[in-house]
Amino acid sequence: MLIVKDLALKYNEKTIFENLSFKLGKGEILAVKGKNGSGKTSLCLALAGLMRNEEKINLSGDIFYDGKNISGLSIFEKCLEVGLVFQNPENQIFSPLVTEEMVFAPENLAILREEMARRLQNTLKICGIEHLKSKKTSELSGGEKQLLALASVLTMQPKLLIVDEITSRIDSDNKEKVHGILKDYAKQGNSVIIVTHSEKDLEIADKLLLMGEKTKSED
Amino acid sequence: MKRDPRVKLIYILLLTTLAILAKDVIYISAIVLVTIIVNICLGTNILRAIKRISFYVSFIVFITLVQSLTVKGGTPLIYIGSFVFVSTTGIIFALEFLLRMLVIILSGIIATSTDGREMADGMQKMGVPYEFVFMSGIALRFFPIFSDEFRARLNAITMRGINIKKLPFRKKIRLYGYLMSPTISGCVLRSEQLSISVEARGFRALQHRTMYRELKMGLYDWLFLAVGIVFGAGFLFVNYYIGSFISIL
Amino acid sequence: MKIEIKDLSFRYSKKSPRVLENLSYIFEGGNIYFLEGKNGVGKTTLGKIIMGLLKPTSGYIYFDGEDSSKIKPADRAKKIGYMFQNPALQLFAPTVFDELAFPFEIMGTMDENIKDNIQKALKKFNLYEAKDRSPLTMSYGEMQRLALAGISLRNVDFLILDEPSSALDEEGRNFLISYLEDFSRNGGGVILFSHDEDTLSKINGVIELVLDNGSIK
Repeated sequence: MLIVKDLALKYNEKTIFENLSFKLGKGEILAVKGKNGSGKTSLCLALAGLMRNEEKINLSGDIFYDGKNISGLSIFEKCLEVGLVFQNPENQIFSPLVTEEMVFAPENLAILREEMARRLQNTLKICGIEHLKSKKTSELSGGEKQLLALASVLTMQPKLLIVDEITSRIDSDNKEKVHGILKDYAKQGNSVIIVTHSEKDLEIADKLLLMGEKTKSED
Repeated sequence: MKRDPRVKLIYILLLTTLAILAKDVIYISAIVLVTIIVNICLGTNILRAIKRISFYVSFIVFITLVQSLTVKGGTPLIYIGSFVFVSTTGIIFALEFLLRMLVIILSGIIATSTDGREMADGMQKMGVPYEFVFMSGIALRFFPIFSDEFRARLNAITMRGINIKKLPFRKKIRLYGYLMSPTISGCVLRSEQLSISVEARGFRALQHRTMYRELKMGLYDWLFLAVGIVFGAGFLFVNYYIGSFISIL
Repeated sequence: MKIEIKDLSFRYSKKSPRVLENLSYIFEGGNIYFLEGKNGVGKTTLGKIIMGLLKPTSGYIYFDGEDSSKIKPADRAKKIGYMFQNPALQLFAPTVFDELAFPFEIMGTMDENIKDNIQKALKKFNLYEAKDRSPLTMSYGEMQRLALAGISLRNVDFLILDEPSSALDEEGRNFLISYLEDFSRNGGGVILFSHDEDTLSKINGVIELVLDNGSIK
C-alpha cells in the first residue's frame, strides 16, 4: 500500500504543490490529472524516489510503501516497489536494440537468465510488441517507443507502476491494449498510477487526483 | 565466422599493440596483412567500413603527407638547393604512421563484426567494471545523438522558411554558433534524464549484475585465440631478436 | 491553397518495405484534416515528404498546381507551417522571446511591428510570463504552444502539425482547437497527425482520414 502524507514541493521558492495526501491500495488504479506545470511529473519523480537533492528543490512530507519510508530504501528496494515510465520515451530508451532495453532492469536486479527470458517473452506478448523483438530502437516510431518504454519497466515487475502520459502518442488500438495491460497489472495485486490528460484514460481509474490550484483526491 | 566477442577484443588489443611495438615498416606491413586476414576470417566488409569513415581516412592521409614533408633526415629525394622537401627518413616515418593507423582502423573494423551489446558483455566477462562499459557505450551513442539533434535543429530552422545555404557566410557562422549551445544543453539535459531513468531501473543497485546473453567460448574460439597468441609471441621474438629489417638492409 | 498528392510512394531503403504506396489525395484550404493511423504506419513520414525533408521514391506533390520537386524545403515552409512531433528539437534560442524573434532577426526583417506581433503572440499563447525563460526548461505542453506560436507569426496558408496536442492539458487543447478552427475559417488548411481522440471529437467540421497500408482512406 502506498501512503502519501503532506507532500509538498517547492522549486526556487515557488510552490509547485502542497498538502498532498492520498492512499493507494493493492489492485487500485489512480489517475492524476492537472494543468501543464501543476507538478504531475514532479510528483511521479518524488513517488519513485528520484527527486534530485538540489538547493533549488525543496521536497517535504512522507511517502510510505507498505509502512516503509521511501527515503530509507536502497535503489534495489525502490525498484522492487516502484517503476516509472517517463513521458518522453526518448529520455528513457538508450539501448540500440529492443531486447537489450527490456532486459536492462532485470540484469541490474540480478534476475537469473531463465527468469529474465521468461519475463522478456511474457512482456513482449502482453505489450503486443513481439514483432519488434529484433528491431533497433532507432527504427521505432514514437508510439512504438512508448510501448517499449512501458515494456522495459514491466520486466522489472514493480508493485507500483507509474505511467506518465503513456497514451499520448499511441494509436487507438494500442491505447485499448495499454488500458488492458494496466488493468491486468492491477488485478495481479499491484497498484497503478496513470498521469493523463485523456478522458479515456480516466475510465480505467478507481480514484482521481486533481492537481492544480486546489489539489484534491476523489474516489 | 562468428567468434566470441572476447576473442575479438583480445585480437584488437593484440594487433594494435604489435603495430605500436613493431620496429619498422616491414614489420608493421606484416601486421596490416594479418589484420586484413583476421577481418576476412570474421566476415567483416572492410571496404564498406572504410567508406563509412572516409572523412577520417582522408584526414589520416593528409597527416601522412604533412609528416613526409616535415620530418627530415636520410637521403634527400626532392630538394631545391639546400632546402629538402622530401627525404627518405620522412617517407619512412610517414609510411610507419600510415600503416599503424591502418592497423588501428582495421582492428576497429573487427569490432563492427559484433553488435555493441555483445562487445559490452564480452568486456564485462573479461572483468571490466560494468559502469565503465556502460559509460563507454553511452558516450559512443551520444555522438550520433548529438549529430541527430544538430541536424534536427537545422531542419527546424529550414522549416521556419530560412534557406541556410543562401545565408551570407557571417550569418551562417552565427547560426551554427547559435545552434551549438542548445544542442549541447539538449544533450546535457538528455543525459540527466537518462541518469534518472537508469537509476529508476536499478542501475548500480547491486554489486553484481546478471547477463541475459550467455557467452561461451567454443573450441574454435580457443583455437582462434591460440593462433593469435602464438603469432603474437613469435612476432615479438622476431621483432626484438632480429630487430629492424631496414637497418639490416 | 491546395496540396495535391499523386501516386506517392516511399521506402527508406531498397531493402526496407514501402511505407507509402501509391498514395493520392487532395488537401484543400479551409478544411481541417485529422489523419490517424497505427503507430509506424507513416504519418510523420508523409509530413516530412510534403515539407521536402524526405524525397519520395516515386510520385508527385503539387502546391496549387506547381510541381513541388522544384521547391526547396525552406520555400515550402514559407507557405506551410510545420510542427515536429518532438517540439524540443525545434527550439533552440536562449529565451522564449528570442525563439519567436529569431527568424526575423536572421533574415534582417525585424522591426517594431514584428516585435509588437511577438508580444501579442506571447500573450495569446499564454507564454508572456515565460518570455525570458529558456525553452529547454519548459514542460512538453508549453513547448508545443511555443512551437505553434512561432508558426502563427508567419503568414502561412497551411498547417501540418505532428501530434500537436499529445502533452496539452484541457485548456491547452481547447485553445489549440479554437486556433485551428479560426485558421481554417480564414481559408487556411490544417493537417493534423494525431491519435488524440479527445481533440478529434471536439473539432467542428473535421475530416477524419486513416492512413493504412500506405494509402489514405
